[in-house]
Amino acid sequence: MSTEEIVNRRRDVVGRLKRVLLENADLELEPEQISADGGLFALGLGLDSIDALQISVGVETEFDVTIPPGNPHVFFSINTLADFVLAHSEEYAQ
Amino acid sequence: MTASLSLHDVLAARGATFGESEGREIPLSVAGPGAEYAAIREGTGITDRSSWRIFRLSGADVFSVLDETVTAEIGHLAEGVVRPSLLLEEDGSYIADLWLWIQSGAVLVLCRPLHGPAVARVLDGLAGITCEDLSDLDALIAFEGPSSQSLAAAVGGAAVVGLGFLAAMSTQIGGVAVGLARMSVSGENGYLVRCPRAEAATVFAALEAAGEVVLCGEEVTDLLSVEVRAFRSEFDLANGENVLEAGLHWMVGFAKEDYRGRQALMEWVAAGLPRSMMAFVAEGDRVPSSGAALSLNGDEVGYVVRAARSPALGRIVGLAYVHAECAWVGVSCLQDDLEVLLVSSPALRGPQRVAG
Repeated sequence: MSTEEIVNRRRDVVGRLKRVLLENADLELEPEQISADGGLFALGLGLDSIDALQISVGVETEFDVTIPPGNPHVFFSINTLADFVLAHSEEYAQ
Repeated sequence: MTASLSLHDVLAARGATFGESEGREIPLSVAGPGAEYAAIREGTGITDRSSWRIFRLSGADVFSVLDETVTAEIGHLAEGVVRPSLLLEEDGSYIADLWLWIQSGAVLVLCRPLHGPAVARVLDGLAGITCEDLSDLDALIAFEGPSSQSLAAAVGGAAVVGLGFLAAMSTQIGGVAVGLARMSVSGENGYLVRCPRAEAATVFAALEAAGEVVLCGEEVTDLLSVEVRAFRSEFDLANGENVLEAGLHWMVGFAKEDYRGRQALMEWVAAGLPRSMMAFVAEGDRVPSSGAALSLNGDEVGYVVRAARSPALGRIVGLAYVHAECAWVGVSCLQDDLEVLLVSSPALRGPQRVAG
């Protein structure tokens, strides 16, 4: 895959994930005010377990993937969610 | 004259080496880098952080005044909450990263000694606020690592087990009344104990007696912080980068209407960041040095901030500033002949780890 393709795929997924995040969590933020590598919980945006549940459902719906329980590191940041989506979504299958 | 650490005598007896920052003694290494790293990543390491500065802010308007001063939203914070924040100049340039600890209706402001004088200058100038410098009265003792919660429970009892991350409480350790905050700079679970300096040795003895612990210095933090992308201003903002390029959005309350540096931050966001800090991994024996150029298809696209060989990952991990168009996970660059792959931060993570 070329660098351009890598960048375009990641940019697309990150943009969609930010939209899912903002639709499902009580955050007064614009997408560009969220760092893709910034933590979503604890040391980060301070989201809670209810937010996590809503975001999980939102991500699964948006990308038609299933996030198995017991994988908290998937929810570490937008980028770690993107890692999961790119690895498991048929939409982005190579 | 250098202000000694609260555990200086204990540390010296264990063979510690010491440094100094802004007139305050720092423990550089105690048990050695390998043992200290292993303790914090696999067990529990204890670090005397009494070199950190502690300011107690009080006054009727302390929360609103501080809310207009720092980047984090603190106006609504309740008793027993700990929050990281940034302190900026009006032009958005960095002054310090802080830990704000809400206790007894006042705000404790903690910072590393490096930033102490600049933080004191700002806090002393806040109208209507009383600022007390407790740095030479109180001790701070950190214990961090996957076993730290067991140690906390052993010394503090059942109530400590339920203490949430970025929360604080009053308790007793070794019969000494202490403040205990659940926080960490290593990415592991961890706690920070605040107690009177005169009682620090008693608190340390109780911690050491309650579990298997290793005394650590601050040098190991350089490696730990690379692995989990914990912010270190002396490296991460050494070349004129700004706090958003460093990825510190999460410390900024963008919804707040006014605080020092807000206008600059909003302008940077609106304009788009020309570069972003990214984590990377690489295979091989050569650890790239700070400032080393990264290239892509023959074009220079960034530079290394810091890098190290990660014992936990068995590979090189690092942080680099990369031009915005290339600053995406999955992009592979070259540092001379070394292939550098941009990865999601932090490079080292797991269910136990908490750093952002």
